[in-house]
Amino acid sequence: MKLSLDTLSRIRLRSGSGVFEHDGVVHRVEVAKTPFGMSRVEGEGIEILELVSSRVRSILRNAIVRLPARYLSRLPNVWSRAATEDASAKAKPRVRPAVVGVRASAVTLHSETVEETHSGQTAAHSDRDERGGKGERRPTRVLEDSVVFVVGKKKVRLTVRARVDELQAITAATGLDAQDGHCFEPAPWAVWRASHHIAPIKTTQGLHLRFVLGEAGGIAILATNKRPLAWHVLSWDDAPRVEVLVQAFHLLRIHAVRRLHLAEVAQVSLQGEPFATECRNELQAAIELPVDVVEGDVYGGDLVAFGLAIGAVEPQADAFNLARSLQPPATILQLVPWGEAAFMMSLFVCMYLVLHFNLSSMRDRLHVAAQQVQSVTWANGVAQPKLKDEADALKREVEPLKQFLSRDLSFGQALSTVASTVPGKVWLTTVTGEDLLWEKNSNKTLGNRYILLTAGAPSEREGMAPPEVSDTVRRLEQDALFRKVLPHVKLADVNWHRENGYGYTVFSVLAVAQEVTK
Amino acid sequence: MSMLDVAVPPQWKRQWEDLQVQLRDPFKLRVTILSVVAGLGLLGVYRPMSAEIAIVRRDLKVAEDRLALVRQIEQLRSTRTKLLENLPTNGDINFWSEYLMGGIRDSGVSLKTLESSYRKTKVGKLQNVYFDLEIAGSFEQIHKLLSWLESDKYVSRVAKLRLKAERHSVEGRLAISVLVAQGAAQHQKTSSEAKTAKQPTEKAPAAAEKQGHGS
Repeated sequence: MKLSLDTLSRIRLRSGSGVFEHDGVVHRVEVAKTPFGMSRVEGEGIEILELVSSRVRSILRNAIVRLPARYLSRLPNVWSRAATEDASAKAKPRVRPAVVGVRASAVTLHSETVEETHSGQTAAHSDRDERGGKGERRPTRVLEDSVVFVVGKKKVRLTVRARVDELQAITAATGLDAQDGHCFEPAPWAVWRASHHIAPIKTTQGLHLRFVLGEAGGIAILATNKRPLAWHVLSWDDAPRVEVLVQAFHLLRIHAVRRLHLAEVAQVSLQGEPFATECRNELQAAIELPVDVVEGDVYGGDLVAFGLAIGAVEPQADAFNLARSLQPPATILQLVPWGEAAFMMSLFVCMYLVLHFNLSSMRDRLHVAAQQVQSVTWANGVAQPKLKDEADALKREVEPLKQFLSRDLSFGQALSTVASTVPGKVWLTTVTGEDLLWEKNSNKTLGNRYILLTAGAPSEREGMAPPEVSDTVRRLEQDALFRKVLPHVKLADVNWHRENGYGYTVFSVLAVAQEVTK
Repeated sequence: MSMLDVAVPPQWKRQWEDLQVQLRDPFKLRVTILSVVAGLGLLGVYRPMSAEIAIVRRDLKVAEDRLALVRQIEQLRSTRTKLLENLPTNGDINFWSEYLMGGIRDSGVSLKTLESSYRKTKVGKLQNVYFDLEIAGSFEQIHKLLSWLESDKYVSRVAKLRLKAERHSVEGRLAISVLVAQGAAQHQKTSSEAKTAKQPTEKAPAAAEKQGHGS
C-alpha cells in the first residue's frame, strides 16, 4: 500500500458517529480525526491501526521471503503467523459506541448555581452517584444526568432529564440501545458543540448568547466560552422570528442574572444563514447590543448529528449521557489511564536500558583494569599505602635528579661569550658566578644564578666614561646565551682610576636570571 | 457466608469499598496509578541499578587508581634509571676526586687545593657533595677545564666560580657540585686532598670534617 496524498487524507486516527432521529428521519453523521484535522467523512476510511498492522505485515512478509531457508526454522511462530495472516480478512465485528441525540423538546434542563458549602457537597454526591459510582440503579421512568463546572467564582450545576420512554422510542427508531454502550445526549448540547466547533467563541470574558437558526425553529444557547449554561428552544410558528429571538434573549438574560447570579450577557451571535443576516439588524436594535453573524450550518437534524459525532470523537468527562444510569458502571480497569501509565513505564524502561548500558560499560572497564593490575606481577599483594609511599619516594628522588642534570647555564660557554663579545680595549679583572640549585644565596639581590664581571677600560679624562663600558653591557644584553639564561644585564658600578700616569675606568657588569628587586 | 467473608474483617471490606469509590474519581485514579508506576520504577529499576552502579564505580575507581599508581611507579623507575646513567655507578668520593684530578691534569691547569664537603641535600641514595678547587692557569686552560666539566658524560655542576686575573695567569676558585653514592659517602666522610706537583696544601681534612658533621 503506497501512502499517497489520497490515502493520507483517508487515514482516520479516530472516528465517531452521531445519530439523531427527528420526525421519523434518522440523521447519521460520521466525523473523523485525520492527519489534516477533524472533519465530516463519508464512506469507508482507513483506520490507522489497520494501516499500521497491514504495513508491518507487509514488511514482515518481504523480510521472510528474503530470509535464507536455513534461518526459517529459527523464526518465531508468532512472526510467521502474523506474516501469513490474510490482510483482507475482516476483524471480528464489534459495536462501536455512538452518541445518540435526544430531541430538545423531550429534555428538560435545570441549571442553578451551587452554594459553596451545602450544595457543593450535593454536587459532589451527584457526580459520584451519577458517574459510575456504586449508585443504585432504580427502575425509574425518568432518566437524569448532571454536570457541575466552575464559572468564574461560582459553580453551576446543569441537570437534564428525559423520560425512559423517549430513549426507548429512539432505540426503536435507530436500533442503538443504551445497553450496547451508546451515549444519549440532549440535542441542544450537541448543537452547541457543533456550533462552537465551526465558530468558536473567542472572548473569554462575560457571557455569550448564541442563536442557531433554522427554517422552522432554532436554539438560543447561553454559554461561556467553554460550556453552555442554559438553552431555550425557539419556534416561529406562532410569532415573528425576531420577536422570538428577543423574548429568548430576555429570558436567558434574566436566567443568567437572577437564577445563576452571573453577569449580563456581553456578546450575541447569530448562526444559520440566510436567517441570521435577515434578523441581525432588527435584533441588534431591539436588544441594544452588538450582534455578530458567524458562519455555520442552519439548525436541523444534520447539525445535531454532527455535534453528536464530534462528541463521539472527542469524548469529554463532563458531557451528558442520559443513559448513564441504564449502563453498567465502568470498571476501575477501564478507567485506568493506560496510555499515561504505559508512557511512564516506557520512560522507566529507557532509564533501565541507559543505566544497564552504563553498568555494563563500567563492568567492562573494571574487568580490563583488574586484568591490567594483575598483569603487573611485582605489585601483586603490595598494599596501596606502600605503593603510594614508593611513588612519593621516587618522586622525591627523580625531581631533584632532573633539576641537577639539567644544564641551563654553562660557565664555559658564558666565558667564551664574554671573551668574544667584550670590546677589544676592555680587560677582565674578575669573573664571579654562581649557579645554586638547592641552596639560597646569602645575597638575595643576586639570586641563585648570576655572573658578575669586573673589567677595565682605558679612560684618559676623569669623569668621562669610555664607550667600551656601555658597549660591553649592550653586547652582553644582546647575546643569545645571556638572553636565554641571564636576561637581566646591568652596569653595577663605574670607578675612574689613575695609575703610573695612565687613566682607566674599572666597571662591573651584573647579569642575573631574575629582575633584581630591592 | 464464604471463607473470604470470614477471613476478612468487615472494616477492611468497608475500607476497600471506600477505596474503590475514591478511585472512581479520574483525577485520583490517575494520580494513584501514576504514583504506583513511578514508585515501581524508582524502587524496582532506579534504586537497585543506581546502587549497583555506585558499587561498580567505586571498585572501578579503586582499580584505576591502583593501575595509575603502578604505572606511575614504573615510569618513575624508568626515568630514574635513565637519569642515573648520567652518573657513575659507584661514584664515591674517591672516584670523583680521581675523576676531577684527571680532568684537571688533562686541561693543564695547576691545582692548588681540592676539598670535598658534604651538603645537606640527599637525592634518593645519593648525597650532594661540593668539591672546592683552587686552580691557576691561563684563560684557555681554565676554559678547557670548565668546558670538560660541563659536557662530560658524568654530570657535575659548577656551583660557584671566581676567576681573578693576575699578572701572568688567572687564579680561580671553583665549587663543583656532584652526587655521590650515599652508602660510600657515609664511610668516607673524609676529605680528599690533592696536591699538585707545584703547590700542595693541607687545608682539606679540617674543612671536610666541618661540613660532613653538619650534613
